[in-house]
Amino acid sequence: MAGQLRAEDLRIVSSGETGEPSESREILRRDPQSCAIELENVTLRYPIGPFASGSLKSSLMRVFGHREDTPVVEYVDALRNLSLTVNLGERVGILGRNGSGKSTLLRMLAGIYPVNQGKVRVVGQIGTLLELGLGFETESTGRENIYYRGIAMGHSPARLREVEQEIVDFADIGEFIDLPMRTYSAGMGVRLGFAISTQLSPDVLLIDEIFGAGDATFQERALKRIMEVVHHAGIVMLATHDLSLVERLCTRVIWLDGGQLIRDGATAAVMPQFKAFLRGELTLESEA
Amino acid sequence: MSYTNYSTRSLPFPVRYVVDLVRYRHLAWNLVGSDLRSRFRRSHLGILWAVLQPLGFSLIIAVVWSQVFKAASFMTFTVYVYSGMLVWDYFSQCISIGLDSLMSSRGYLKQARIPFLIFQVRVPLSGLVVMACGLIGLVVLMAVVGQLPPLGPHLLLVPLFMGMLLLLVVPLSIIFSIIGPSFRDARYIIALALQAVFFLSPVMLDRAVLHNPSLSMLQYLNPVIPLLDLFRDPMLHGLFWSRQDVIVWACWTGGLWAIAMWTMVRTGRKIIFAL
Repeated sequence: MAGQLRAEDLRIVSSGETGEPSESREILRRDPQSCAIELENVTLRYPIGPFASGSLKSSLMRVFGHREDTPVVEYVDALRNLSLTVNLGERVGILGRNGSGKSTLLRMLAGIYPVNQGKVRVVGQIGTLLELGLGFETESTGRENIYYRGIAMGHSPARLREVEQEIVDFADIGEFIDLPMRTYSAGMGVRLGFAISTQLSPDVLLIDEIFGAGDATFQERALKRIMEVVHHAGIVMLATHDLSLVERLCTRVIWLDGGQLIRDGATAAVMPQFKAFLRGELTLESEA
Repeated sequence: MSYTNYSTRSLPFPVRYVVDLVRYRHLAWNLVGSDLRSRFRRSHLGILWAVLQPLGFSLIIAVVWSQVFKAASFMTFTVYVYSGMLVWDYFSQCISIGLDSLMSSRGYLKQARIPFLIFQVRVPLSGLVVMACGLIGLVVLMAVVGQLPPLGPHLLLVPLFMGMLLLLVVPLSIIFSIIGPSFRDARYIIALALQAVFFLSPVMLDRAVLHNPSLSMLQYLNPVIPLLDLFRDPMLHGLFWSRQDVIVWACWTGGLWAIAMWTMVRTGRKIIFAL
């Protein structure tokens, strides 16, 4: 029998609505250098951009009084009134259907997307692995890209020189490291990107899906590396459709749908509900 | 609505931009190096194209002019056109490539919170290195044709001019980098506008044309004209700058920076959604 999530469930997961000082706020007060994430009633509207203004033809038609049959969409609500806190040492899996806001949430946390409403506080240095192939100069070699990407993450060339060989060893792509990146396979790009993003022990590591692109051997080493990042008092947030990966890696799951927080809790508690939802045995209140 | 990352300090505008530029200076220099390497990588003649391209164009124009219009001195005219092409190529490329400077950097901008300014100064900085190489080519060309300018303190104005050129072009690059993703039609309009500006600038036309009363206003309305004068006066003619050229440059530079700052404040980070 199909279950249903109620409005009460939605309120439980939204800690910012209670008005009580959150745990991460306490951490911030005690030690501003601690690593924590805190969102308060965050709304992010993603503008559709040039598509909203339509074509020259439709503009001309409007001048002559033509009205569009369908209303012009100017933006989508990518995140709606989201409140949550993530504390030190947490490994959080972000689950949801396509378009649920997983990638937007990660980009918002990284400070890439500006928010329309609410407050975002992130304490700690951020490391990202958000999109395959992004952030690389394809005509430059892998070794050169270690510097470009490392410097873009805010590290100095001197620091990168210290860790260059360790990154090369971890990526383990052989002689390709000295070849232009346009010659790389997708998996090689992920291996190098992951090695760069995690070598310098970021306080907050944000990973979007692409982690699964490496081969099985690499994935095992990558999991071990993520554990090391967490061990260094960090936070890992992983958006993925790979449920087994989340079960292995994450202590907590955030379930998003339509930019809203549906569930937030321990992996063991939320995962069965999400699986039931995917099988169609559970529907959301908004869809009922 | 706010975003705070406690690992970086939040500073007021425009101090934030200056601090960001210093903080990410390594990235800026590395990107300039990457641009130069990828521009000439896999090319047999490499950086020599920084000289050969304007030289080839100047020779073609000089041949046509001397044959069709019976221009006076072939080599003098070649040097004149080459010097104009150095400034024009830099100016026009900073605008036309600058239109895409944020779009082509989306890989970085969608991966981490990096100041846009780093990518907006990328094209003007790498272009300046190419222009400096072209400048060496100009000196060689002038030596070959026996037209080296008399040595004197006026030559000290040439490196100063490079700095002034950068100061005028960076705000242009900022403005067009924001226009590019916002209005996809802009590239076509700007390509046409650049062609018009080219023919309204004394790149290959004689500077004396602008003494015509009907065209004299162009000296104030076209920023390329004072730039060409500020370069050619010390470099070709052994002269110091005229006060009028410096004032026109200063007005354009001040005005463009004001528009660039206003554009940056108005758009903030929202432009990321258009990339």
